[in-house]
Amino acid sequence: MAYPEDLDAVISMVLMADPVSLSVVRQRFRRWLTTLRWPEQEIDDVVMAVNEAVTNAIEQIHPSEIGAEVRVAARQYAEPDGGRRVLVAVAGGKLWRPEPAGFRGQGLLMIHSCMDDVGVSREHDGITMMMTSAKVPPLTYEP
Amino acid sequence: MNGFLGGMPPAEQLMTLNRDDRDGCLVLIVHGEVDLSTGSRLMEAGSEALHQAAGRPVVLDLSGVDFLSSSGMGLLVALHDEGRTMRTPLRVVVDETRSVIRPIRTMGLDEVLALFGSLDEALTA
Repeated sequence: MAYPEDLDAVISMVLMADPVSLSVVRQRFRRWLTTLRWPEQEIDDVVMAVNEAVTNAIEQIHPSEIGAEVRVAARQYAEPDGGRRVLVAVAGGKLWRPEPAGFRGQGLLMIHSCMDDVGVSREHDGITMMMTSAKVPPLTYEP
Repeated sequence: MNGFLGGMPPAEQLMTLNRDDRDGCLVLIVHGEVDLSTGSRLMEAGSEALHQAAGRPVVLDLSGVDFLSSSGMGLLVALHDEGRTMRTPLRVVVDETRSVIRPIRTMGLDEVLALFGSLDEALTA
């Protein structure tokens, strides 16, 4: 890897499946990407997408899953040209199916508009939503 | 980290609401972040304002809003529809320079809501 920052560029958290967790995840992602010197607009996009994915997971926590958690992890990586992206994974309750909820499913539309790629991967303990951000310029160092 | 929530303020502090009567309009001033945790409070206050306006326009001032989720945008549409049913105009103030204008445009809400760039514009409309 070309950038020493990449070694540290991971973030992960376990959130209570409750709406109060949303401001926590937004604040932590904003702080993390600011530290990694991401442009303002791309930070807004990632924060928006993560907020919508976690919202969807929280809205669809099944009543049988008392004390459920939402797990969020992200990693920054560099492409061969030095451009950087983040890959974000959001795992909801065991019964979570990332699908329309709330504002007639507009959250998913919003996620797609904020991220370059969105997919789901089926794990043994449920579904994980994977989101790849837009590409931002390489870090440059002042001499 | 201060416990499970990492020292985050409760939803009451995340979004604050203030009401004002100005130039024949009922103004609801919103500050902070509108998401799934704060949206129901805004929905209630907005709905109450529409009912108490008695035909006067209701102005929802979002100039001080830092974050607006899709759930927040959903409630703006719901309030807009409620106002139309009651024949009470709902005017929404969004500062063009703030980041919340982008998701509003992405979702096409600028085609649905009566948007104004400043409170003065909304009051004199």
